[in-house]
Amino acid sequence: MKIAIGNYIETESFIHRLNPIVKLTIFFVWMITLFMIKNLAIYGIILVGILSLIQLTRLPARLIVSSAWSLKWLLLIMIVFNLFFYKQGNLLWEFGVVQVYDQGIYQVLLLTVRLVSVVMLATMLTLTTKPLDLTLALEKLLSPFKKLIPVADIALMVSIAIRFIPTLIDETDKIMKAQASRGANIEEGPIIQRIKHLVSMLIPMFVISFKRAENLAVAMEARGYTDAQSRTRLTKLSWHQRDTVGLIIGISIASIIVMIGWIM
Amino acid sequence: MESRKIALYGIIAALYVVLTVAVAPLAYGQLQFRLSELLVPLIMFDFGFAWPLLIGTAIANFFSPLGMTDVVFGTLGTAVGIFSFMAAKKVLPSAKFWQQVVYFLIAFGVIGMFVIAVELNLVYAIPLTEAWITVMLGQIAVLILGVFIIKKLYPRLKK
Repeated sequence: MKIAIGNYIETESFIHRLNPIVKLTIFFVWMITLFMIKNLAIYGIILVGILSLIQLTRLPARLIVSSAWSLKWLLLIMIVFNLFFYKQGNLLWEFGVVQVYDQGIYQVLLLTVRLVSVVMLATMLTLTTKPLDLTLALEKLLSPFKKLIPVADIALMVSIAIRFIPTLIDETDKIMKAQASRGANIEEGPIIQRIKHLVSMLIPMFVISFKRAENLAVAMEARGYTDAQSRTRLTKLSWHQRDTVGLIIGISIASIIVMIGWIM
Repeated sequence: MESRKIALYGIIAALYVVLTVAVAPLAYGQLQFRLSELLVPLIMFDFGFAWPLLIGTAIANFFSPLGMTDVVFGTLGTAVGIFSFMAAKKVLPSAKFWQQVVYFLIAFGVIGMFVIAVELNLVYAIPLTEAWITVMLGQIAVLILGVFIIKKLYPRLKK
């Protein structure tokens, strides 16, 4: 089982140094923008923009493009669905019940470019920001809701979760192998059998998780952990001039794109 | 919140992520089978498990091919499920266990999945009802299985 958690890559770029709050905010704004645009020509401009942004991050472009490639099966389902069931515009091609319309092709192209853009932006966000910084940024963005939700506790839970994902993956791997050697293989056999085998994997997973939590709680208390509200942090997010500039540029780009979309 | 709870919720969130990633290609997209949703019935025994479920969905969806879009909608879907279930339990408090299971299935399987269907409709332009029915079927199957497992397991682990 392979999983790249917070596959952060350090390349010392301007984008890397931006405050994660700025990156997260711009990301959300751009995401909304992407879903507002319905013109293929504008997507051309956006794609060029994203490619130049990749240059700015100094990340290997192949890495980001390959993230879009991971969408291939989802894209295929989407393409088949839209191509054959979208029935507007001029009929281009007919084969029995299958009819392809020019609007259908336009729709498919639009959705493909939109999806690829969203995925490339998301990959860029996680490649340029450390997972813990993202947590910190989320905590900051959520802090106005401090009265409603225990923001600090949640941030700690997120950190614990991120910390324990690799550990639990190792455990799952071991248990799956151990159970498979006893004949409980969850990857083969009839579905009912597989579900039964799955339970034999889940129970030890549960027990291990509860035990680990118990140990962790003891360790926390032994180190004098009281409550998250009054804690201070080792690293703090600082706001520089470049963050203000980045935020203004990011939001201006989004507004310009929306305006062009309006005019065209 | 006491440290015992924070530790447990954090690790259950991690478990959610691990169980999602274990069946990665199946867990995202229109036809979903999320092993991790087996953990959702935990909320029937303790509302506090709302936190690990929300955190787990948010982190797990980071690995979805759609990234942040899934983080927002997925977490929202879970949140809607949690609120509907809590509301149902509050309005109809003296319910038997099987009645609670029904509320639970409606809250997470039907109402919560509507949010996911809206997302699939926006992103893949799949018709809303079709998207809703397909995600609902997969989800309800996993949830029913989850209720059986958690009901047997949770009281023992709590000790």
